Amino acid sequence: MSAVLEVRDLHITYASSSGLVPAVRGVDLEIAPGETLGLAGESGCGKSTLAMALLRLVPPSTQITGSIKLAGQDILTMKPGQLRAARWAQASVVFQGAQHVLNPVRRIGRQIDEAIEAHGSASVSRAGELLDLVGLGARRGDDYPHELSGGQKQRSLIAMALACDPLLLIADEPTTALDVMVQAQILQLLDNIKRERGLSMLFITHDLSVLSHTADRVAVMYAGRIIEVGAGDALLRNSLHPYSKALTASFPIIGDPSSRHQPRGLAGDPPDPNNLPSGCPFHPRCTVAIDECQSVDVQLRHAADDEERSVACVLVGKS
Amino acid sequence: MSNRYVVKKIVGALLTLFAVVIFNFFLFRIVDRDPLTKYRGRSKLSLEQRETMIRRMGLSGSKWDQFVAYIKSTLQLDFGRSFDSTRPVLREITDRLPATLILVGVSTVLTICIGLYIGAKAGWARGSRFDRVSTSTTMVLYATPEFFFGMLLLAIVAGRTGWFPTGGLRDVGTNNGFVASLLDRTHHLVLPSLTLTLGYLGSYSLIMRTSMLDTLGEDYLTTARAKGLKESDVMTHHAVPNALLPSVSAIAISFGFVIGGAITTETVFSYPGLGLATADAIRNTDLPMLQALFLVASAAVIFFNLVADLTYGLLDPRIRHSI
Repeated sequence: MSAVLEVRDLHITYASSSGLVPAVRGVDLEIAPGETLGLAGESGCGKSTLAMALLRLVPPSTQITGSIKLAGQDILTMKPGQLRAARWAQASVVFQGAQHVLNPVRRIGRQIDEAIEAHGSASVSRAGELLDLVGLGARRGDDYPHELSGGQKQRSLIAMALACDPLLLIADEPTTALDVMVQAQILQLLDNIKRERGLSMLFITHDLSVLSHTADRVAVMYAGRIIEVGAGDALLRNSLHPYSKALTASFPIIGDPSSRHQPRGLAGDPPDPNNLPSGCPFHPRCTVAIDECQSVDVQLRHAADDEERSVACVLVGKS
Repeated sequence: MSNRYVVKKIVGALLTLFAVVIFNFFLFRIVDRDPLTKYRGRSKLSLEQRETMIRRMGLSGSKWDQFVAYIKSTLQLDFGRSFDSTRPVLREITDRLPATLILVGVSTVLTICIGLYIGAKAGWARGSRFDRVSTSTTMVLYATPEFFFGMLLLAIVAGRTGWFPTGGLRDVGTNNGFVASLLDRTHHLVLPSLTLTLGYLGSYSLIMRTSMLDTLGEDYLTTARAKGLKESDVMTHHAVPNALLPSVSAIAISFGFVIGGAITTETVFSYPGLGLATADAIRNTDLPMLQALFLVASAAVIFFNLVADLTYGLLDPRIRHSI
């Protein structure tokens, strides 16, 4: 079956007052029907930019090259009318509820129904049905966003994302601002909905631990590029790139007591996209860097011992 | 919005009005030691008549007695008689009130509709041709005093072409039939209301433009776009309702200036409303009239701030539920 989402050689460059800022620098990825791809990385690695670009929700001055095919159609070459029709119907976004993503002066139900109306399908309100589905109850449709708790807002955003029966859910840090109990409920809800409806999902997070139960495959992003991608569990338990290793080591894996004894952080800050280090952009923070890393920027390549795994590191797949 | 909030706001407005009443008492006693100096025909008054008059105007006795008498009569809407016309001040005011209500009402509605529309559109398309043209135009309008527009319109549209009457409320002797009379009055209303509208359009539209700009970066606009909404729907359903909130209170405050604008506009067009009455009363030092007109003007400003407070509650559910 053909991929729901197929991204090829995607470059995204912001125009800022200090010049052009490369946020995404050549990303390839695809998501099969029913598959969940977890996309992880620190703040500023370009993961949210990538997510917003999938529906062309970046500022108009932003340069995007490459291709983004949603159900076979390239989002980047669409005319405005086609783009509007594709948004929410092909792919929808589960935004992070802690931010002001809901209009404070419009009822929740209206904000859900207007998505359906924009695609000209329903004359009857489906908001109640969708709010029931996410366990919020149809009556909350009459509420305004400030009347909902953080978890309830997140549920209403999931209901909203389902309004037009999309093929792909783009979940942009959907559990980040929630406490652990609510976070678990939301993850469970997303998982159930995904399975029942056979949806594909791109799950973006800075917290690898939430991916262990949700993601079929995981991609790790650094400085605008994917530096390691592979099957979810295998990558989380045995990451090969030094950066992914540092990320996975910074949280304990549930059910693996040994991981609890050696939590480590990662020193240094993410690189400035305006001023990337030479060679591998991770080498200044890398504990195992060799001289070659300062000059050679390795592209993503298959790791020798794992068919599904690709890593961008001189030390991996070299031996 | 709870009833308690509404009651609280109304009580607050009434207290403010009462403070104005008290302030008025002292203000007009500072203005002139002998209020009768400007009384028309005072030279013909005998000493006795003078004292009777002073007593009748509540100006005899101790300051406290005067104050009590003043409050009593004000509560009964008895503002004394105009020095100028010698008719009761209340009659003078009620006779002229409708003309001003129509003028200020028409101009305010026009200013709000046109000003908010221009401001919203300019802010939404920041840096566009529409934005640049409308913002520089509204800046000029904002900076120009309204009576200047009045004089320009008077000189060009009324004076030279004769398309519109140069002043007054209606033509004398054309009062035949309801429709003809209505048309005649509207004809007279055009230039004064246009003047007042032009004078205040600028500030309303600049306020709305600024608050529109403040909402442009909000995340809920991205959400609306992501849902596939048309840009026009994103603007009218998401940006404008949020941008209106700060505009409402700013506009209510600026309404006080419209009342001031009515004074100069009515004077330029000899439009017989409360504004012209104020100008005349100042010219003639008609203290009883002035005192009552001050009260009416203050009451109007207080009333519109009350309306703004209540409207704000209706527009913003966060306020509505917390109060």
